[in-house]
Order: sequence, then C-alpha cells, then structure tokens
Amino acid sequence: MMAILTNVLTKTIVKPFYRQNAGLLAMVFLIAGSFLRAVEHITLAEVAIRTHFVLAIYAGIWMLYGFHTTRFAARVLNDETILHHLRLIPRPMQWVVLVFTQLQLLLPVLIYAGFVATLAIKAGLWLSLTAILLTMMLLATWPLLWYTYILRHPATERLSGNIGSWFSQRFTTPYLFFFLRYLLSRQPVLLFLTKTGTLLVLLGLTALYPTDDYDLRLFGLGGLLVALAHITIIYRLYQFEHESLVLYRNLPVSLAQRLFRYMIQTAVLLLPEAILLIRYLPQDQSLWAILSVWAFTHSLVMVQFSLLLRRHRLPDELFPTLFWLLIGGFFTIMYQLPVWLLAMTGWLAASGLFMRYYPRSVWETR
Amino acid sequence: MLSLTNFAKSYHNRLIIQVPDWQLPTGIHWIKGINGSGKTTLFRSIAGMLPFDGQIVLNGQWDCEKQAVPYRLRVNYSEAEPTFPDFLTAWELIQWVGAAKQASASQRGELIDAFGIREFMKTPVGTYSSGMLKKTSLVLGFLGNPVLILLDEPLVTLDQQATETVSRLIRRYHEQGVSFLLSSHQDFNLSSLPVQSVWRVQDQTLMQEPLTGLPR
Repeated sequence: MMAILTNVLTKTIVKPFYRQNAGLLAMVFLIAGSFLRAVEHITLAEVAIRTHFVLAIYAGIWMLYGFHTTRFAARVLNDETILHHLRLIPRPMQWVVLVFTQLQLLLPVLIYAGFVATLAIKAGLWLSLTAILLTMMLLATWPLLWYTYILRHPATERLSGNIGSWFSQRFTTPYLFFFLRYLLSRQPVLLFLTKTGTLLVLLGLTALYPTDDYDLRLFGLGGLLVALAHITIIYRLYQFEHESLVLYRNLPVSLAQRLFRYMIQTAVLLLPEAILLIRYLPQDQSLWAILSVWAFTHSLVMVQFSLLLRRHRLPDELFPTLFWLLIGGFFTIMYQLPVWLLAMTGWLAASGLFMRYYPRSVWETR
Repeated sequence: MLSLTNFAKSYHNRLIIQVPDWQLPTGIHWIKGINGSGKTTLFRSIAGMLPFDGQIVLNGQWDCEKQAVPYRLRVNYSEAEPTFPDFLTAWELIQWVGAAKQASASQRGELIDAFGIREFMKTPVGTYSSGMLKKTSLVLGFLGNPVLILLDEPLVTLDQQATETVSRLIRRYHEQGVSFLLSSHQDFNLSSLPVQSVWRVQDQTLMQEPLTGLPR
C-alpha cells in the first residue's frame, strides 16, 4: 500500500517538479561548477559553519527552495482530484508518504546540507551542526501542515485567484502581458528566484568591477550567466504558448510580428537587469557600452527561445544546449569581440531560427 | 472553397490522417468519426494551428502556409475542448481574438449576448464550467469576417438554449456565404441545417458518406 502511494506521488509530484525545474537546477550547477573550484566550495562552507550570519543566509536560501518545492506540491495536491483520496488513508501512513515525497523534493538541498554538516562534524562545531539538522527537519516536516490542510479543504479559492479576479474586473490585459501575468500568478517563486539570482550576480559584478583592471568583458560574462539563468522562464513561455495559447496560431499575425512580440515580452522580463545596469553604471563605461551588455543578454534569451522551437524537448534534455551556449558565449566574450556585434549576431541567429522553426514547432507529449 | 492536396499529419512517425486530394465546395459540411479518429487533428491543421505535410488552400488563393495572415483572417476555429490560460477572462480573450480577426465592437457585443456570457465574462476562465468554456470558444469562432468556420464538436456540453443559438448563427452566417466544417463523433441535433456533404474520418483518411435524412 505504502509503496503504491509513494509511487503515485513520485510520478505526480516529484518527477514533474524536477522536469519543470531541470533548467534552473542545471544553471545553478553550471554556475557553481564554473565559477568556484572544489577548494573554494569547502572554504565557503567553512565560513558558513563558523559565522552564524552566513549560516543564516544559507538556511534562508534552503528555505526559499523548500518553499518553492512545497508550493509546487501543494498546487498538484490541490488540482489533481485523484490525490484527494489520500485523506482516506490512516494519518500516520499519510504523513510518512508525504514526508517521503517532501524529502525527494529537497534532495539537492539535503545533499549540500549534508556536505556542510560533515564539515561541521569534522570541525566539532556542534551548534552549527544542530542548526543545520533542525533546518532540514523543519523543511521536511512543516509542509505537512500545508498538505494536510489542502487534503481537508480541497479546491479552496486562492488569494492570488481573488487578486486576479479583482484585476480582471477592472483591466483588460493586452497579449504582450499574458505571459507576465502567467508568471506572476502561477510561477511567482520561479520568477522571484530567477530575478534574485540574476540581479545578485550583476550587483556582485558592479561591486567587483572597480577593484581591479577589469573591462566590459566582465559584464559580458555576467550577461551570459543572466541569459542562461532565464532558461526555465523561457521554457515556461514556450510551454505556455503551446499548451494554453494554441489559438494564437490561428490568428492572422505575421511571423515577423510574432517574433517582434516575443522580443518585446523578453525585453520586459529583462527590464530589472537593465535598470540595475544603468543605476550602477561604472564611471569608465558609457551608457551605450552597458546597454550593449543588456542587448547581448536579450539576444541570448531569444536564441534560447528560438532553439526550443526547433524540436520539442523536455526541460531535462536542455542541458547540452545550455552547456554549449555557455562555452560558446564564454569564448566569444574572452576574444574581445565588440559586445554590440555579439548582440546583433545573437538577434540575427534568433530571428533566423525563429523564422525557420516557429511554423513547424509543436508540443508533443510522450 | 477549400482544397487539401497531398495532406498528411503524423505524430512521432505514426500517421494520423492522410488526404491525397480533397476539394470542398462552399457550404456546410459534416465530418464524422469516432473518438481519436483524427477529426481534431484535421481541424487544427486546417486552422493553421498544427504543422502538416502537403498543401491547404482557401478559395484557390490563400495558402495556409504561404499566405498565412490573409488565410488565418478568413478561417476561424472553435475547439472541441477549449484550453485557455485560466487567469484570463472571456472578455480578455474576446478582445484579443476580436482585434486580431478585425471584429467590430458591435459584433463582439452581439455574440456575447447571443451566447449569454455577459454575466460571467469578466471572471477568470479557470472558474468556468465546461459549458461556459464552450460558449466562450464558440463566441471566438464566430468573430470577424470569416470565409470558413471550423466548429469541433460544437454542441458538446451546451444547454438547449445555446444549442439553438449555434444552429441559428450557423444558418445566418451560411446565408451570408460563410462555409462550415462541423465535426461530431455522434449524430447531433443540427438536422435542420442545409448540410451539403457528410464525410467520415476512418482508417487514417476521409471518406464521403451519403446524405441520408438530412435537408439540402
């Protein structure tokens, strides 16, 4: 019985979660693997176990991830009516099954926390170890409250639904903002995590820039990482258009107009990065130069979107594409090619790919 | 009115439907077929929503792929099982599709009233019943100045009043020269319509059936 239940929850919650977030997780691993060496990872973790403030930041990030997983699972539990039958099984078994599911969702955090905890044991820092263990226990068990509430009160109205309803009564959303509304109402944590990550990267670079003899290439590399970190959001755009807005393909809109509209939508998504770059414009760089970095970032986001149209793939199949984009982008920047030239090349490539593949693009479930 | 040449649609190398040559005159045409026979795939292809092999041409001048914009301006589609973003309202969808299909404000208002969706059209579609969704989809299908309207299972989940509205609108649009492709997996309650031909999707192709018991 328990094996069947865990199997059902794994297939309906755990696997879809990792499928949907494969791009984001892949980017985190890529960035962590490319920027930091093993010894630096150990140094960082040692700083964390010795400094309570840093450990609190670690715990905060883990909790944010935990909230992201819980929100996903809660949505599935709420929407999949077949899962409401979980309420009928004895409560101890219900809790075991749900905690096991939550542990599977927390796996990346558990592995990393295990690594930090091992260092704490070696160093004999028992307070830090206790804090890590308590955080993990909390992350694994608190969602039970949420999940149990959903099972007892299925299909309740969401606050976001009420806000959306209030908004809909008063305003009409133009097509260009459909996807942004989707992100705000259905994927707020993904949006928040992505934007927090990319803005922190850029903020870090603006702080790093004056400390040594860096040039625009530093921001170029930042733009590359920012663009690749958007892969999960871009995949959502691709999925949203194919699954929920399939009627758009029946509308009399030319290919060029469609491309232009996607460029506007992605530009709106990258607006916070543009504002940050302009706000912290380095003294020895012109506005034109820093805008070229943003344009390069935008062109790479569009390249990713156009590449998705080439052949239907699941998010976890995107890793090789991301890897080659990272390598290719890295070398073109390091060879000191003008960033505007890179941006123009990116836009041209994205447009060519879009014109070629959009009409044949189709969402094919397997 | 509509011609399909060397048309074929496959999923994962599995042929769904193949139509070597199909010339359809102006009028109302009924496409039958059991569940999963490929009716919706055929309709979605004709609506320009799915890529396909071959050629689809409207009125001998608008190719679905080569003249994509004028073709789509004249071919409307109402889905069998409509899926829209659940946070949007029927009103927002009607404004969006209506603007693209160049539907006048008066036409939008008239269709909204005809299907009786004014009361709920400003609430998110995620809260709709299947009948309310279907009515919204039908309003979208009649917007603008189409030459051809594809209605996929138009009566499923509809109440009696809405069924009569669909019948009345088909008749009125048909009198104005609009053609219809209606699909159904069962005999439906539109027997008073002047159906010009009946086709069955079977064995991955289209076969004509006799017009028995239907008014012409």
